[in-house]
Amino acid sequence: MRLEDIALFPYLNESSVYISKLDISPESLATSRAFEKARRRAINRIEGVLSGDLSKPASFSNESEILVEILSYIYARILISSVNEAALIRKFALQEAIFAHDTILKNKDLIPEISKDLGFIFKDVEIDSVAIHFTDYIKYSLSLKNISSKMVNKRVESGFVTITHNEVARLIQEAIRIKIEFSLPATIPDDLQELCSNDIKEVETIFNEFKKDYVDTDFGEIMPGLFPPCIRKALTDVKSGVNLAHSMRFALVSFLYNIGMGNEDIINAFNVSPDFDYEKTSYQVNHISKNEYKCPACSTMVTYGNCFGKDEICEKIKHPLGYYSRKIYFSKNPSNTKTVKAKEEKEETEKEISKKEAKEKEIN
Amino acid sequence: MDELTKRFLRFEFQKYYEKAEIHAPPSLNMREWGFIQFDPMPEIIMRRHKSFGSYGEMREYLTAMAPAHCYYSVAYYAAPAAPVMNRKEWKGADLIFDLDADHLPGAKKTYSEMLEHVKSETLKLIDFLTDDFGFYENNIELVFSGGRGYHFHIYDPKVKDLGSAERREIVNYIRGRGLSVDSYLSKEAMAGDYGVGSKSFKGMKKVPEKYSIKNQDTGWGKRITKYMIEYLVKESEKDEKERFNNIQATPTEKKKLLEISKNPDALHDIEVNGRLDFFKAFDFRKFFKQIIEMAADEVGVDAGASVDEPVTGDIKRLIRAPGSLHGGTGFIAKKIKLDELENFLPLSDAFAFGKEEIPVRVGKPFSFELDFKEYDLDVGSYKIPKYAAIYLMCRGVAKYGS
Repeated sequence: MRLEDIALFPYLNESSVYISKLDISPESLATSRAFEKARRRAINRIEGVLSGDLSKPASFSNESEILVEILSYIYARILISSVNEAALIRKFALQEAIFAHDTILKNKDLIPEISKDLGFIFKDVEIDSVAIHFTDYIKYSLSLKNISSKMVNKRVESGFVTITHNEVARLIQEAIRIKIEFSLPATIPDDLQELCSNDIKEVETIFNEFKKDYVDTDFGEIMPGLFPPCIRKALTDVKSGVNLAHSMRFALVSFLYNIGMGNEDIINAFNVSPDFDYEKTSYQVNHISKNEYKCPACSTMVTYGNCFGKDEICEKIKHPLGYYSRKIYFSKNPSNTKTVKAKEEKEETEKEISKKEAKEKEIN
Repeated sequence: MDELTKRFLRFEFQKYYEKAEIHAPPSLNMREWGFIQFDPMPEIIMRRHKSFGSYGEMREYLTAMAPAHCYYSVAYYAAPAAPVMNRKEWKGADLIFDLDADHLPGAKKTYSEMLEHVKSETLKLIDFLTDDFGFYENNIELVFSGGRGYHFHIYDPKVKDLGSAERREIVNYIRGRGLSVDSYLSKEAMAGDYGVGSKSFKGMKKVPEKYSIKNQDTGWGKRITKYMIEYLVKESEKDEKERFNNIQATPTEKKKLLEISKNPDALHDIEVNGRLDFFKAFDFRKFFKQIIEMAADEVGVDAGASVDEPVTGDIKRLIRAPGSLHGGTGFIAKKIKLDELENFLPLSDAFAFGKEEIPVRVGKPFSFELDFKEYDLDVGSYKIPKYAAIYLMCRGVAKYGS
C-alpha cells in the first residue's frame, strides 16, 4: 500500500503496522511541539465529522504532510475516546467509512487491497465485478434495505456472491464503519487525558454545539424519572431487550422527540439489544422528527393496548405529554402541589356532580 | 413412567452407551452440555452448564448416568461450565439447521409419512449447502434427530463467527424469501438457435423487449429456470381444462405457453440461455413473477413456518448430541453420510435395540409402524421386539413387564 493510502485509510491493519513502526508515544503526540499540526488537524477532522463532511487532502506534497494526516487520526481517536459520546463515535466511524466508499469509487484499483486488509475472502476480480464469499456478503449487506441487495437475488455459486464494484465499495464502507465503531472508545489512561485536557475540552464544546442544533429544549432538562408509566415501561422493555409493538415504538420515539430529546440520543436509547440496527432505527427516528409527529393521546394508547400502570396522575391527564409537564411543574413548584390538588379535588367534585346530573337527566 | 420402567430404560441405555460409537464434537472442551435424566420423569429437568475436558470424561459420564436426552451447545465458549450465559464468553458457533416434521407446514399424518416429507426437504437443503454455499462435505454433518427430523451441523470456520441476523439471512436464502422478479429478469439481447423471427412464430422479425432470465446457470436463477421448464412440461401433459389453471393468464397466453412447452428446442433455449422472449404481445414479466412465487414455495426448503428459523438464528442453543439416544423414542440420533440419506430408513436404520421379544403392558390403545411392521395394540400385555417395546415405553404408553 502506498504511504498516501495509509494516510487516507489509517484504520486498516497495514496502517496500524506502519504506525506502530513509527514508534511515537501517545504522550509525545499529545504534547510535543512537533505534532502541533497533527493535533490541530485532529480537531479539524472531528469538526468535519460532525458537519457531515470529512474532507481529506487530495494529494500530499511531502512525507511530513502524510505523517500529519496519519497522526491526526490517532490523536482524534484519543480525543473521541476521552469525550466518550456514543453519537460522536458513530458519526466518526460513519464519516470515515463514507469517505472510504467515495474514494474507492474514484479509484477502483484499491478494491482488492482494501478488501484483503479487511479480511474479505474474494476471487475473480474483473473489470466491474468481484466474487466475494457469502459470509462476508451477508455480514456487511445486512444494513442494506433494498430487496435487490438480498443474497437471494444475487448470483451465488459455490459459496461466492458476484457483485459489482459499486456494491463491494458499499460493503467495504460497512466493514470499515463496524471496525472503527467497535474499536472505540479506546481506554485512555488518566494521565494521558490530563495531557490532552485542553483539546478534549475543545472537542466537548464542538460536540455540545452540534448537539444543541439537534435538541429543542422546550421542556428543559430531560428527567426520565418523571415520564408517564407507559413510557417508563417501554423504556424498561427496550433495555431488557423486549421487542416493542410498532405502535408503542412510535409512541416512545415521538414522546422523546416531543420533550426535546435529540435524534441521536433517542437512537441511543434503542442501542441496547444485540439486534440493534442503527440505520433502521435512525430512519424511523428521523422520520418521526422530520414530520414532527406528536405522541399519541392516552385514548389512542388505550386502544392499542399500550396503556400500562395507570397511576393517579394519569386520571387527570389525557396525554402522556400532559403527564410529563404536570410532573415537571410539581417538581419545580413543590409548594403548589397542595393548591393544585385542592383545585383538582374541586374540579373532581364538580365533575361528579355534573355526571350525576347527566345521569339523572337520562333517567328522566 | 413407573420406577421399574425407568430402571429398565436406564439399564438399557447404559448398555448402549458402553458400546456405542459416539464421537466428540470438534473443540469438545469448549462446549456446554445439558442432560435430562429418566429419574425425575414425568418432570423434565434439564441439567445444564456441564462441560468435559476430554473424550474419556464424556464417555464415562454418559455410561454412568445413562441420560434420557443429551445435548451440547452449538456454541464454543471460553468457560462452557459457567453457571450464567454472559460469563461463558461466546467464541463462535456451528451453523445449525433443524428440519423437524413438527414445524413443517401441512404436517403429514403418520410418523413415517412425516419423516418421508422431512427427508425430501433435507435433500433440497443438501443441494443449497454444497452448491450455493460451497460447504465441503467433510464440514457438513447430517444427523437423524432420533425423533421427527434431521439436523445439520456445519463446521466450516467461515461461519463460526456469524451473528443471529446473518444466520437468519441464510435461512431466508434457502427459503427463497424476498426473491424479486426484477433481479432475475434481464432485458439484454438474447442469442439463441431457436431465434427470434423463426418461421414457427409467425415471421416475427423484431421483438421490442427481449427478456431473459438472469443467472439461469447457478443458484436461485438455476432453480427458477429448472422449475419453470418442469412446470411447462407438467402443465402441457394435463387436459386442456386443467392446464395452466394455477396461474393468471389469458386463454391466448395459455395457448402460447403450450406452444413453448411442446417445443424441445424452446425449452432447451430457456435452460441454456434463459430465454424468455418468445412472443411479442406477451407479458413475460407477469408470467415470470408467478413462476418465481411458485418456485420459492416448491423449490425453497420448507424450513418450517416459524420454528426452524430461531434454531439456526440461536447462536447459543443446545442441540442433541449425535450418536446419543433420543429418550422420547429410544432411537439413535444417527449420523448419516450425505449420499446415504436417499436410502436411509429412520424407522429401522436408527434402532439402538435388538429384535428379541420382551414383555410390556400397554396402558392405552396405540397404533404405530416400525421396521415395516404395523402394530395396532389395545390395552393389555404383549411380547414385542425390544426396539418396539422401548419405543412404547419412551413414548409413555407402555410399562415394562408382563
